[in-house]
Amino acid sequence: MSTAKTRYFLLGSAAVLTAGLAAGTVAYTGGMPRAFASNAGPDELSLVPAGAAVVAYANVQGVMSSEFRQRLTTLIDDEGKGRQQFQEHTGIDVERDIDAIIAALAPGGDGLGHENGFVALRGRFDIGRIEALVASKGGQISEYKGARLVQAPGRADETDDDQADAGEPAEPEPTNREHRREHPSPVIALVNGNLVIVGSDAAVKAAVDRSQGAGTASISSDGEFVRMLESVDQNSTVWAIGRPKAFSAGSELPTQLLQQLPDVKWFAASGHLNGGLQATVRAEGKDDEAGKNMREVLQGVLALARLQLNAKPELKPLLNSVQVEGHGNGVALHVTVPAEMLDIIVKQAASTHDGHVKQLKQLHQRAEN
Amino acid sequence: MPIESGPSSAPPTPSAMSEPRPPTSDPRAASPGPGGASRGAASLSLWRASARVFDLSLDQMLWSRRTVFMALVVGGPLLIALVVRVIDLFAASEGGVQIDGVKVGSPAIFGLMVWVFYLRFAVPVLAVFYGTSLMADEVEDKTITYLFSRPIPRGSVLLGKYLAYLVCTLAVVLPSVVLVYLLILSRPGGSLAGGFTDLVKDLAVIALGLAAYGALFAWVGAQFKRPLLTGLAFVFAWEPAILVIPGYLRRISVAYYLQGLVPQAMPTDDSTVSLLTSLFREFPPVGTSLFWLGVITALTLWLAMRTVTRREYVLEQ
Repeated sequence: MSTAKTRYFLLGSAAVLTAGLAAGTVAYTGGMPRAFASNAGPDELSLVPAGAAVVAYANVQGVMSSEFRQRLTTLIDDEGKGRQQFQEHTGIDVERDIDAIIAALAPGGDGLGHENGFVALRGRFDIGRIEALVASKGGQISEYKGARLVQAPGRADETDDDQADAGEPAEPEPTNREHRREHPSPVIALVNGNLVIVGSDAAVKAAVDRSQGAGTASISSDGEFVRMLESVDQNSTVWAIGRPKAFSAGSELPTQLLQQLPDVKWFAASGHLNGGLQATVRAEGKDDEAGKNMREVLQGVLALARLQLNAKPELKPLLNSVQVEGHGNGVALHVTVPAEMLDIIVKQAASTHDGHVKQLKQLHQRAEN
Repeated sequence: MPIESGPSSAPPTPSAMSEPRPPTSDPRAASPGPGGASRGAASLSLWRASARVFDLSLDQMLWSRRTVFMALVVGGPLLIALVVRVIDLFAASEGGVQIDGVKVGSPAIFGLMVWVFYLRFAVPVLAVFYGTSLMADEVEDKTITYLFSRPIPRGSVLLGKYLAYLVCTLAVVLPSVVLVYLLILSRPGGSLAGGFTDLVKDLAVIALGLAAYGALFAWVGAQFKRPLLTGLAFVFAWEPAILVIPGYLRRISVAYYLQGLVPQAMPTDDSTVSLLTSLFREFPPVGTSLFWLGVITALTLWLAMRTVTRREYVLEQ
């Protein structure tokens, strides 16, 4: 018989093996308590409905304070016009007032495939000032379950929901109706001093419901989504997770692209902004064959790009940083864009843009002649 | 057993067997001859005798100096996993662990460690060191006489020792892989759930690798004069070389069939070998890999037992 020492050793070894496998099994079957989950995500996820096609998050303060953004701003040099325009219309200073943004896009329930979604802003908002600003521009203010609903001027009575609520039998001119369906008026819900939700009427109201613990289940209860969320680095400044198949239903995307999309079951993209940008894009196919195809396509594109390096050697550090990995039905692409590489990319883009403008001018002149 | 100094270098004294006789200077005494007395007078079946030898060998194998070497081999990945966690603690804001300035995710780190530390190093190296010594050490220390003079089938000596090697290595290597999995995939951005199926497959592949390589090197140890050198040459020269050569030659290796079972992608770098490997990469189907690994294990183990049974060991003075 083996000695006691040997028996204890083998028992200890078996115990470690069993404990590890048990922990993995519990995690795999979804029984691991949330406290043990590596990435619970932002609190605003509770606003997002289960089944959302795309969910995106941005740590605004992280983006604004990053060297990457500052360098990009210097290179593009638009003097923050977009930010100023947004502040003029809403009274919200993106750089100072907003801490984080979460956006969700859900497949539309109108049978036409039109998406409805919302953007939730977390930060510090002066509700009175925003209300006054919108009212001064002719916007309408109403209340929904304690939240102030602000609707854009002249569009408040045009949403389908409002028509349905009013029981209007009248059918407006088809072209106008379609136009309104395609361009539903945005609604701003001022939930409290720290939370503002902007989006389609139905989506915003549903998000307000969920913010009060009512309404349909949130995406946090979707095990598949949580699994993808856990694969995203919790320190990411920005991330997005989505299901292209749900997103593509009834969309206006090109047919060729749509034919490829169903193979991608889930995608998760994340980026960490610091001096440069470190980004990771993961995708899961419907099966191992789809995963293998995605990996081969990416490897092929990467090889093709490397062949072109002689013509543009300045892009070598960028291409060398690209890594493709994966197994089974998954693929992951990692890329690092150093801050100095950003200068090169912007200059390349600018020169390409100038070239296109020049070509267009020449074509225009020829046409005139 | 005989490789050890101190108590483990003493001749084996299994209680189930008769008392050992002192070694004799007559080489013929160590070798009753092919199919000699021990085979004819076998009073225990092959399996029962193997179980006795297994029981005897397990203690000696587990508490030998080789186990210290094994602990170092499998402790390396564990140490690296701990370092990764420490880096996470102190450099979380910098994006965590990076290789060549590129951030690497937890599944990629775990896959890399399984490939590089376990499948390409720990498994073949442990199999070489343990497998080749199963019979060679007994011969070298002239203690094979004690085993061959017992009324048991000669093949059971090798089979029992092989099983002891398998239990001994599995008991050390598999928990190490599980600990690395827990440390790496519980990192921020990692997912224990996401990597679980890979872990199960990795454990199975490592166990299969230890079994196949162990059987192969048990035969090498029984058959060849310098088994350790032969084994090391096979692992570090033959296998890496033929894996980068296109054609059928790679099928004469264990690594070819093992890598067809690994769930993670094979790691690559900028080296020429890596480039050639990726160019001529060809993974056999899972069924084929399992079949040939089974064949390699069974065939080499049978050959090893046959060699031990038939070979006339001459002990040097």
